[in-house]
Amino acid sequence: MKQHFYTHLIEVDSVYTVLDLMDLTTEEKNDLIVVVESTVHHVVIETVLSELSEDDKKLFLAHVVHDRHDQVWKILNDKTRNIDKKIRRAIDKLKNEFHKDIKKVKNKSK
Amino acid sequence: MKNKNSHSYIHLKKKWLKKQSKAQEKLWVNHKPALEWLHDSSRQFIAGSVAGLLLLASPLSTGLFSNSQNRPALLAKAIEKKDQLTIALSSVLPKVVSPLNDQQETAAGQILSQIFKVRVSASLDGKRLNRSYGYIGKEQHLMRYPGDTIATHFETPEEARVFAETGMAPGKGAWGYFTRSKNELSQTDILREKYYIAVQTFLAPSWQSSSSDLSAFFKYRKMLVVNPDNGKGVVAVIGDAGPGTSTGKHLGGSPEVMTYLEREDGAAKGPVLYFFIDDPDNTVPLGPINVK
Repeated sequence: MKQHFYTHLIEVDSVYTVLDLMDLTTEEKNDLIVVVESTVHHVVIETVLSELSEDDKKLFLAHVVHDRHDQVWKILNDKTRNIDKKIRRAIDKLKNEFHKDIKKVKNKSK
Repeated sequence: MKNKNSHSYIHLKKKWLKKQSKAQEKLWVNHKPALEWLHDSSRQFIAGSVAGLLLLASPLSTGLFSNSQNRPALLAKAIEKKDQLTIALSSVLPKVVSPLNDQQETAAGQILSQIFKVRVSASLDGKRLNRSYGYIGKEQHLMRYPGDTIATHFETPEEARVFAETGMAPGKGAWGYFTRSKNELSQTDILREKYYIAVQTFLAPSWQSSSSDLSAFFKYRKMLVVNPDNGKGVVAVIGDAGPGTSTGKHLGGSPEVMTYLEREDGAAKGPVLYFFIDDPDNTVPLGPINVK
């Protein structure tokens, strides 16, 4: 999995672990993981952009594009407050939704 | 059994794609101008589909950001020129400070030329240094004429207050004194010492076979030195040779150069770009240079 500037903040492995326990083919599982990671990425980027001014958004996006994690965090530390907590909170909420969806599907298939 | 799980997959995929789509929509609705800026800018980055890298396996990369045009960087107008410079350079420079390859060197030279409006290149008249991107360390002041000391060195008390503490190098620079005596000290000499860099002339290609030619070429050669992290640039001359390879640094800057560029020595050392300025009519003044 690609390392993002937020990788150290979030944990979605529990979703993958539950998917592992389902009788999915490797392709099916990988397919779902791609969707999960993409959604996580969108949510993180949206969470961060919501805290920045228009000019800072551009700088932030430009640094993210080039994987300049140090510079990304310099902007975030200088221009936002508690962004790490906000990212964690947003992803925890999303993760819970994934787990609920899995649970529903499991219950249906019983 | 398999059918049930396939059903699970189909159900989850459908549900999660919807979730993904909502997240994408929210992102675009709330931040469209910045995302469009990124898209437009990416067309002009040397690195090609940089914006595509941003959202990698996400639906945002579905063609919208794909771009592989190889044009010199010249970025969107919406942000400060200095920011444009740092962003453009960050698309070209390696993540780890290392010698630039031909493509990176050409691209960095084009960016600097465009932003500072001076013609720069890593190679001039077929001559070049060992590198054009490296760690800079702080040098001491150089004696401009025999008898020049810290007490005689500064034009104003303010300059002395800020720069005297670095001290004077015990020996002369690689090309001796800047002038023969205090009486002959010109404004050009003053500026050359004030804005000098030391480069590893002895590591330049062909140094072993043409050291005297190269030495004459390097002496007081104007270079544009730029801190890629803050976009600050200074026009300096090559005023000394060094530093040694064991220092881990690739060039040195006078106290004035280092202060202006906001570069530090030691553990906090950072990289700069240093390119020859093509200035046959000697029209580019020494000292800090602003983005244009």
